[in-house]
Amino acid sequence: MTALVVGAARSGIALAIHLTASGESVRVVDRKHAAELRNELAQMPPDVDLRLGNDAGVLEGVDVVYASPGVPWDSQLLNDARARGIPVSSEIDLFLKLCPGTVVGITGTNGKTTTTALTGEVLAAGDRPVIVGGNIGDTVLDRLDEITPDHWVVLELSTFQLESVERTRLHVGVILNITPDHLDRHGTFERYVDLKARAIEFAGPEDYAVLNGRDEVVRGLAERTRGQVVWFDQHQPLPPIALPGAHNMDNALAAAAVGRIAGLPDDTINQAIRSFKGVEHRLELVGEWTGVRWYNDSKATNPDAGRVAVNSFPGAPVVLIAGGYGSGFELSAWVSDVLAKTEAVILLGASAELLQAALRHHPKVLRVASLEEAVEVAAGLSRDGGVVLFSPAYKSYDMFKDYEDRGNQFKALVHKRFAA
Amino acid sequence: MSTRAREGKQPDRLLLFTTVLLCGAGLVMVASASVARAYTQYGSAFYYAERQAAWMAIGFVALFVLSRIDYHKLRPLAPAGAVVASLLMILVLVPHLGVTVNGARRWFDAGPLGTFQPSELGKLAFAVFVAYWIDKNAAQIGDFRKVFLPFAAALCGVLVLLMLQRDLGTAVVMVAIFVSVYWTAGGRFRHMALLIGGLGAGMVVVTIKEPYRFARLAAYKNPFADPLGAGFQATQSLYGLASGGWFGVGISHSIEKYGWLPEAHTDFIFAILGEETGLVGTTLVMLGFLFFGLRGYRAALRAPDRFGVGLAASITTWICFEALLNMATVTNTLPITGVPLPFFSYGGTAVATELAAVGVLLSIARSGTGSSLGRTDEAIDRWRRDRRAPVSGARSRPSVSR
Repeated sequence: MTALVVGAARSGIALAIHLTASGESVRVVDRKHAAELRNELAQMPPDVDLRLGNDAGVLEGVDVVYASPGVPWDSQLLNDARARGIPVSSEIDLFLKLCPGTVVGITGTNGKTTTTALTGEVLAAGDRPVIVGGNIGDTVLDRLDEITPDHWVVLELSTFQLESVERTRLHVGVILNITPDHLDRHGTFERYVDLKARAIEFAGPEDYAVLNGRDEVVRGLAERTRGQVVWFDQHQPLPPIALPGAHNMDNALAAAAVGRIAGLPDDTINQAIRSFKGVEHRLELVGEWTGVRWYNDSKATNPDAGRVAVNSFPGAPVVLIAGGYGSGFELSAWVSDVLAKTEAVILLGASAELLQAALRHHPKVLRVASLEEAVEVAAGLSRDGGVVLFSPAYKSYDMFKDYEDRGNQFKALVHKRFAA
Repeated sequence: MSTRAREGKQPDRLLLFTTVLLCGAGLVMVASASVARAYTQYGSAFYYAERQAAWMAIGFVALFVLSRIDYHKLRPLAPAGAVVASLLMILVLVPHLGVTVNGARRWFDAGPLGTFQPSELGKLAFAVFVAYWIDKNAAQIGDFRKVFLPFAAALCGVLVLLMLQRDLGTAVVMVAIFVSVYWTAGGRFRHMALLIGGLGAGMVVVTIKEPYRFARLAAYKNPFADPLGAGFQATQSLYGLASGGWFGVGISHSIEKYGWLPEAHTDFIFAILGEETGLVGTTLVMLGFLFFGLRGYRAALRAPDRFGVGLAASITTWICFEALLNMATVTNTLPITGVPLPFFSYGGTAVATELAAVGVLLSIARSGTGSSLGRTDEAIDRWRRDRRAPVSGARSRPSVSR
């Protein structure tokens, strides 16, 4: 058997290692050249057949294709493979087929990461072992060996991953919310909703669909599942979540609902939720200096996530730092929330000019050239009892490596500013 | 997508069917019970029946429309609805605007449709408002000062308006509407006990101060002590039920409706029902309301969000509690409080509002297909859990493709 792994990044490596270990001959293809992939290639198993750059004959002799999550499901290469009758699978597809544990899959436009981490904490408070993974960071394929039938496996599932699974049979499928995002890759909103619905569509009668009844689109999905529908907004009493914002209450409600499905007592669930400190780069409290709280929300890579952050501090004077790379976003809702909820806005990045025009009715909008300058200006504008919020609402590509790099730089700059 | 999905959803036909049956029976009974009064007062035997039918038609249009639209559309209208209802309830107290009947000023003149009673409309408006407000403040539901006090103050404000209209019956139903929402949102039992205890004490004071209410209370203890005075209505009501026996004297053959039983077509229509259709008829109607309650609370348990849960619970509680209170009054199980029997008693605003409320309930029932694992559903859930651990089936995964 010859398996072709498409994409040589993190999950591509995991795929290559796993497939090699299970005795298949592995070929890896990536558009990038060897120089760009030096770090990744060092981690590849030695006997992998590498095809970098453009290689026309890459599908010759291949029996099965595995795509990394970053690869469009309708890309030319995958379509060519399908045309030749070669089965196309993916890392997450392979994992779900092999995983012996009880799988909880969490998807939604926003809040996936926090909910996945929180659900992991809640389930860990019970007796059964828990593994958390998926989109959240590490790939789960390399941990397959540890997983027993007794394990809870909590997976963050992006739309890309849901798309690439043949039959997403999840024992508990959680859909948090669905708003227009990622439309650049999924085409229409309908298609996007269809992909999200895959998290619950393959459930059997003994499985669960945990849904947000408050979200109009998610509400409509209830009839697409044969599993038992649990509306997490009905959960009572409300879990004692320490993180700010209504969206975090939703995340906590979803995690608590999964906890109840697992048969955990409410006290145990609430204990786990109470002690949850949040996820890095997601409304993360950097610290408090001279009565001002500084929040890093670098993971807000779209206006919808940005809105969520802006709305998380009712009553407090908010200085917002926003802007980044990207386009084609529907801005009107973000603009009206920013107008209503912020005292001052500091803009940077490629979208700064566009945002400045959109925010022309805002009393205080400033543009800066660097994140360091933004921190400095924000420190000058903020006042006692207030909040400085770094929630870009755009992607990070123009000035940083990724959102994590962006958030880490922000935190380092803030700490440096107040260290003296 | 979502529209396509929603079109596939089935309405709760059983709930709709029960409502239609109850309304049909109600219209027959209004026609029968009001014949004598309508003929002597208006020269037309079906004066009341025609008006009731017209209001019912309006009600069914409202039911149809509201059951078709997403009940979340009502959310933004909630505060305005409560304000409008309050204003109407204040305006009705103004002497030349409101119409006084039997010493109580609760109605506006509605021309050919008879009268319009704002406090009936208020029941739906406040049910929506309280569901909205409690949902908004759910995070602090246990907080005495932030949630309980404003909640209790709003309820007391509405109750004062109702007491100024001398409408104790609606006041009691309004308490049930408010408290049921508070309860479904996970409100503290202590707070509810405090509220109901305080209101109960207030009711005692009001009863002692109003001579007619005190007389009603005395008549309740033994209506036969003064059968021609304070106990007249209660005794006539009991006579009606008694002469109905098992199978009744037959529809339209009531004696009590010929000027004997006061309010035969409104608050005491259940006595005429008992007289004409007997224990069989009254039992069927009670089962109808019981089934209505089961379907209504089922919709609440399956509603997709807290707003839907609260709203469905309050509407169901309103209809069923009112029916229970009315039947208890007619059978002299409770002192006379003056509440109509939903879908039965003559009263246009009441029946139209009730049907509109059922429309909202149907909309909630249509949105919710889920089974909640919430507190209210815990008993069922525990039972299910005892029978088989919910995830054990998943753990063994009999049908997962590998």
